[in-house]
Amino acid sequence: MSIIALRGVTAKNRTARERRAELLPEIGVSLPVWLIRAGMAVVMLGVSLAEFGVSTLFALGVVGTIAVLVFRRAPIAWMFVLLIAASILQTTLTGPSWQLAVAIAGTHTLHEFGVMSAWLPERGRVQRSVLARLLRSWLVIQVPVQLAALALVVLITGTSIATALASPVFGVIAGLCLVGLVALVLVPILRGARPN
Amino acid sequence: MIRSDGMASGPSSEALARDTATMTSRWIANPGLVFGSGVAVLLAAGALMFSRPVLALLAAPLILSLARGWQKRPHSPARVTVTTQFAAATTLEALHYRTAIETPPDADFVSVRILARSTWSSRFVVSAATARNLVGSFRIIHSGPQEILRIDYALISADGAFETLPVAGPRSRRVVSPRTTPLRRLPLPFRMLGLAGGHNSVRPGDGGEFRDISQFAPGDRLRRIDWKVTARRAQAPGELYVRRSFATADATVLIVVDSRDNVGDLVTQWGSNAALLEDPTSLDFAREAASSIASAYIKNGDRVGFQDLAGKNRIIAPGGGLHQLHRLLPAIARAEPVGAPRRRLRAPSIPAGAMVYVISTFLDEEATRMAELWRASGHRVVAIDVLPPARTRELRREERAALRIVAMERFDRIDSLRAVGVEVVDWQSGDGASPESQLSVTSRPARRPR
Repeated sequence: MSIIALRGVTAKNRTARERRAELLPEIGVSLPVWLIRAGMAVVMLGVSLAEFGVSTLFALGVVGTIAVLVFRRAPIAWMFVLLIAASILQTTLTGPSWQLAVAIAGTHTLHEFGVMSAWLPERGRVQRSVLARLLRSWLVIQVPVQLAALALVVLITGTSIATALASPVFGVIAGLCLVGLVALVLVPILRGARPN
Repeated sequence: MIRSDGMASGPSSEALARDTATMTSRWIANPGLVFGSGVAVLLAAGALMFSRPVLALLAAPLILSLARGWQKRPHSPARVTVTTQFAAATTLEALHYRTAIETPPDADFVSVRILARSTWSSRFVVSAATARNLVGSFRIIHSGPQEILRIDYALISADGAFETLPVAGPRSRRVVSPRTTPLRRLPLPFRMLGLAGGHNSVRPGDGGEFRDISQFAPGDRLRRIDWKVTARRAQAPGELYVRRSFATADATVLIVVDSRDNVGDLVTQWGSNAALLEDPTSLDFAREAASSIASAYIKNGDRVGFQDLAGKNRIIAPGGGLHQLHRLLPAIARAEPVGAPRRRLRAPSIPAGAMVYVISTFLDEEATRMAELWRASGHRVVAIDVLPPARTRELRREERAALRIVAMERFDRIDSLRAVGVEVVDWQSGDGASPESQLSVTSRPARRPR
């Protein structure tokens, strides 16, 4: 039966964004979906630049980036992964390189973004904890894969361990892995220490 | 494909009822799993074919991610219970809600779409823990029966590797009570036929104002003898004089709401679904006027009835007291257009001596005809115009011309009402006169027009 007395204020000049914001329940810190899509585009552009340089493949990467923004459900991320693979086939591995680290990280990130595109709403917001959980899963896979890749490249190319450890690539990868591991360990501990 | 079963229960008997729906959905694999698997296989094959282990390194995170998703896949269909509860409004404008989406342990995230008042929607993705307690509020603009909230959802599991298709959750339908404006001075019928009440009638009796002094006659009460007057006027022993007074009476008021049309201020939207409009509509004002008038008369101890011109079954006979008010207010709040407007052959019969309020937009002849018939049969009739001031800026030239014709016809109707002695009150007056002040003017003692 009757619940609430009413009469709303006139909403003549309110925008659709204001209405959506009014309706959104209290979900804590959240990010808009467009920002996540923009993040995906930035990753694609960054990986294109790192892997292809300024070349024809880079132009393809730019086209792919635009296509990702326009055709949200199309499997463009995985096509882009194949493009990276094709680019890597043209290079010769001489030792640990930052391009390889970026390619591995980029491939994984694009796959996760592609999976995410299937369930992300066209418009709306995503709670921070959802993204944090996905980031944690990404780190759980990425950290060991990067370390294993480094070890494998050292083995394959016959680079001495001393050279590999002294290389800036190893420094960057090891630093990122360390940050990831610290985050993986500390975040659950800090969360568990909270009163609620 | 999704299979949804289960029952969505409607509002329970509680005033602040909950809407609950339990549904079972089947999990489906994210298409990304297929694409990711295909690419991983291609990369691994390329690594073997071209003897390039680097390609295998590229495939490694994909394979690990897919394996992790497969390992965490849900094993049984998702049974979800969605409960929406509304809290009492702390202000007149905000409706507070609490929604709990109880998910199975397999679900990691919930993608939610909240649809309010059939027009506003908001989408968001939250963790399953957050989805168990979603609290928010929004404004309600229209009164009357309406779907105020709907929750649709989709579950996401294994970090996005599996999901359910969107499921329509419970629809919360409520009757929103109109706002009530306090009215202090109200007009009364020309004749009051009630036997007791707060107003003076023309009949002699007890309780009312002083009428005259008369000689004692059989039937007069002894306590009415005025000894001072008797001492002054009595000419013979045994001659007594009594003070006579008027009897009190209650007024009988009939509120007639013309709910056959519901239009807003946006003229281009006349004829479309008024629930989608962002501003109060004519029916919102009509409900507000009817509720305010009914509350004020009942508070004065009068008898109030209600009739809805849209349906023959929506009639409440005049009565008094709080119990009657509790019957009237829900009936007024439920007034809404039903089907195509139909023409009545004769005016609904109303009690003798009753005062009639006709609340309408007067966009057609029906309400005007009824008001004129009632006035012609001797009732005091007050017409309340609830058409919101029209917004004409968005209109094209031909639409402006059409509106001008409609407005002129309406003006003629209202003018003809005034001509036959119907008092007209503009509930949404643009000249600053509030409905209360206009009704106060009509409540001044006036002679019955001949």
